[in-house]
Amino acid sequence: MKAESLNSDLRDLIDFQAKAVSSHYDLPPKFFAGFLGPRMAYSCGYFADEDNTLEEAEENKLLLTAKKLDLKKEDTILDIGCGWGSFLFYAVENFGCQAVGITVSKEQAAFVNSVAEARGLKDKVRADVVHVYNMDYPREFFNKIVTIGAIEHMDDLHRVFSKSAPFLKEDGLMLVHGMTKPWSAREEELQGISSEVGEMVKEHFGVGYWKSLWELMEALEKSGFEILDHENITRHYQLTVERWLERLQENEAMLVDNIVPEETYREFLVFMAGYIVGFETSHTLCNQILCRKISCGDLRPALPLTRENIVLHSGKGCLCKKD
Amino acid sequence: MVPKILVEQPDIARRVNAVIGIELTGENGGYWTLDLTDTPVIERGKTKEPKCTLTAQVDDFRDLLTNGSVRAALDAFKKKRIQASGHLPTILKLEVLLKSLSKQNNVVA
Repeated sequence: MKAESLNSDLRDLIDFQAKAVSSHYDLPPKFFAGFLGPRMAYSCGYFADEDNTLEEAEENKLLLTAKKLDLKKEDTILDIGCGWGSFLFYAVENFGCQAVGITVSKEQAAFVNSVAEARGLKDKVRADVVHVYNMDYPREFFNKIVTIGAIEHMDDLHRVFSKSAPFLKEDGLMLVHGMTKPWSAREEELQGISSEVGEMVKEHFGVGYWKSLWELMEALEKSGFEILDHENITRHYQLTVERWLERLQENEAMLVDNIVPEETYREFLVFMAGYIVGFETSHTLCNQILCRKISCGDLRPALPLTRENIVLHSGKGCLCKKD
Repeated sequence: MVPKILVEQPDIARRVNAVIGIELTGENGGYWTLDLTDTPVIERGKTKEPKCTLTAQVDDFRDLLTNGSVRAALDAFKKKRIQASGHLPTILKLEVLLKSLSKQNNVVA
């Protein structure tokens, strides 16, 4: 009886989260295209130089993510919260991987699958409309997992990573890229002290759960992952959103009323500006955490001695051209 | 004229660290320049080039100062009762100042 009740609660939670998140991401893709870069990556870019363009930062971030995951042609990748498929297509088109993305947004999945068809990649990449708690794939089907800018919508990271681990091969790599908040703010939230701005941000994104970095790492470790590397990329997100805001303002005439109501447009203006301030003042942080699935005690492949293979060096333009 | 809160807590101004223009329309309206780059200074008229400018009706601006609600400010902005030009993030840094002003008697020093 208790188990049935819990399952019912979980179903309700999944329904709520799916609807709430969709309310943000089911806005027309043309609206997001009005401020994102050409890859439609709705997450932090990577700036090897302050003067990088948004396009260069997008490419750099994808390259860095691929490097951290040590992508190879034979990889089968799961992208949890795949958005409009920027990483899926990057992995498939640049490395020849197989890739599956999940999203709760029907609009995003339809977009990814239509692009896959248009590019003749239907047998290599697809997006499934499924909540992370309802994922169902064969055991150890994937050897790489990535989640970029999605954990912010997930209430229980222990459940997320415990659910993900069985689908990943032993020693498989997982990259978690997402926002956190400083412990001081998170502690207040756990004590029931909510901020007006915090509640508004959650409403804007449909649903949001910003954990602290150590909570994220705890969830990974307790789910059987060994943390290999952490990089604070908050400054990169600030620069990214500054460029989104510029583009949003430049494209006002094209977007307002033609694609979204003016109030929606202006709400996005405010939240982007707010995020810039949030990153600048360390109210909001952004991280990339690389880890691998382990069974403690087993002999493991030796790790590289330095970070050389998982860093991008400073430089103008798109670093992918140099590799 | 400088609100008391800025005299007592100049750190609030330093967090904004910018020149902001405030243009109020309607009765008793006008243009004010807030220089929050160092010791806070508020002057009538456009005395310095602002990093951003906030424009509103006097009554709407008074409501904003009175209730100090960020949600109310967002609603006003969405409905274009508050307009902003220039560097939008700087305007949002006024949040702390607005909240402080709404909590205190807005006495000028």
